[in-house]
Amino acid sequence: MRMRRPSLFALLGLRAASRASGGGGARPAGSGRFVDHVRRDPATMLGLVIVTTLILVAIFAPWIATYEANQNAGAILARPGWEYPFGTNFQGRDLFSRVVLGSRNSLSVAFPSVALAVAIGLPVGMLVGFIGGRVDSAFLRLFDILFALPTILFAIALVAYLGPSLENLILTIAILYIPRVAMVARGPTLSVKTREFVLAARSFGAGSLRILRQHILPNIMAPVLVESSLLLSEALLTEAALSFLGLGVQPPEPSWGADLGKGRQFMELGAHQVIFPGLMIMVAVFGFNLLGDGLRDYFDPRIRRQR
Amino acid sequence: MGRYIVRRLLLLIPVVLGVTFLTFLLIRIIPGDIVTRMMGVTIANNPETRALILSELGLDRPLLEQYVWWLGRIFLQGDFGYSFIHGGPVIDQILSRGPVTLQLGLMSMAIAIAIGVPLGVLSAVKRGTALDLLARIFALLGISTPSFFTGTLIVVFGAIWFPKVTTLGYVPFTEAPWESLSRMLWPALALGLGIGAIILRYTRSSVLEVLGEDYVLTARAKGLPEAAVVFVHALKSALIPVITAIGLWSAFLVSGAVILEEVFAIPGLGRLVLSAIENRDYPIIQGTVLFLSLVVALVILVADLLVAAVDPRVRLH
Repeated sequence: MRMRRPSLFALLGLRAASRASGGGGARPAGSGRFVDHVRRDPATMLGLVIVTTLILVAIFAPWIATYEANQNAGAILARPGWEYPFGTNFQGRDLFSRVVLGSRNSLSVAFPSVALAVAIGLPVGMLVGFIGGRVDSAFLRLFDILFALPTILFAIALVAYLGPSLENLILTIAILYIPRVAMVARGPTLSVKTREFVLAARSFGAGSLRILRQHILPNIMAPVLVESSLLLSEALLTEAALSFLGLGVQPPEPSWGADLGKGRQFMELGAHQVIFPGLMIMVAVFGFNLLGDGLRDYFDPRIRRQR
Repeated sequence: MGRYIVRRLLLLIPVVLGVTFLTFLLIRIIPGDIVTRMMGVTIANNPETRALILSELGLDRPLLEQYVWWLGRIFLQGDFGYSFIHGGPVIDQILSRGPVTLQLGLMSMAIAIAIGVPLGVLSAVKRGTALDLLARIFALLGISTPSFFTGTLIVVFGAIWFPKVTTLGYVPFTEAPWESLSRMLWPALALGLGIGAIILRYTRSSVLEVLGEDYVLTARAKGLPEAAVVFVHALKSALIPVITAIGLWSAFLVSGAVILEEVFAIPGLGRLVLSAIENRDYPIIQGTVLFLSLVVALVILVADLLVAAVDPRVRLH
């Protein structure tokens, strides 16, 4: 029964990646350089451009922004135009500057939370898969439980417990994603551990830790990398959702989700207040999704042929 | 089949127990004091009154005992307890608001399936054509757009451009069925588009995979028309994993519904639990999460049973 249930990969439209990693050889499944792959695939190229631009904007935000985030720009609810490219909000703050500066908050929640989830989820998943048996069944049962939970309620309760700050947002999102990463690391570990080269290493007297690090880890990095880039897009969405509900980044700090939520109050006086923060969330998530798809295709040549 | 159903129902028990226990633990570590919320600061600061209230509510007992008590009352007497804040029975709240959230969820899922499955199949069958490209761009945009953004746009532009068509606000289905459906259509669309995009991507890759199988090749080699190959041979096995996936996505749907209820001011379980978390109203939070998780677990179960009914390999495994 359990075997027929689609993996998380599959649920995210990533059937092929899980198959590639499961059946992958001793080497990671990618063939050829990623650069060549990107050059052939405009979608991945677009994703890479969006993500790179986003990171650059976040780094140089204070120099790009024309006003400070909470500075009165001199006009309340101004329409988008030459002076204020994205208009101003009901407090007279320049939305272009807020959106630019807000990228810092979004990325500085998304990247660390996914990194933390991988740092904990990856070893846990590998261990669970490596030990197998009862430990593995217990883990799957736990995963069933977590899957039936409405995650946003859990996130809300966790943030309510920890208090809304950037660090707590990172921690909350990381906790939500640890089981996801663990699940992705577990699958390929299960299949790689029975392969000949692992048996060979063991017959040469290699210890479990050495086998995990030297032989299994390199073989499961591909699916974990793909999952991470998709989790980044989800982390952006979750941060935006929590901030939208007023539980994430707290105003007057600039944040796409919070600005979108705040903009709703006076939206009949200017739709630009919700459109630009919302579009930024969309574009950022779109970029990470494209990049994730591209990575998956790169690691799985079979899918590439199918297209 | 009968034995399979029984086995699956038994497996439901640990899942529900686990969900409720996790919720129980989590909401009790949320700081914020229920006594202060109920009685105000003056009374809450009096240690004797405070102890009295805590023991009245059963909050002075060990955590595990509280949990067993709560669960026992539900299963033995059908008693979900009473709200700490307004004193009404929790079950009344769930029964009055549950249908609202269920209506939103069902309509969203119907929209998502109606968009995702046919477009996914078409996109796979017509792989490489302009239609496929369009469907994939739509899918990518769909999964990249947060439902609360789609929802907000509908609220903003609906009010500006089509004030007659986009009447918002909630009307119970039992009072005015047509009115209720047409008003709920907008939030359901905001939620359904995103999930529809996920289903589309998933259906597409599932169909693509099956189209590459040997038996499809055989069917083609026999000279069957392409439509027969797709509809008779490929679709049946391609859509089985899609059913399971749709079941699993119902948890995601519940999360989306919570936010959209906030956007569209729909008085469902999502808004109930949001305010309960703010007020530390434990019985409401516990009861609602238990109810929602039960619904999700049941939907997953129904999807699995459907799959088992179609695919004998599953129930014999």
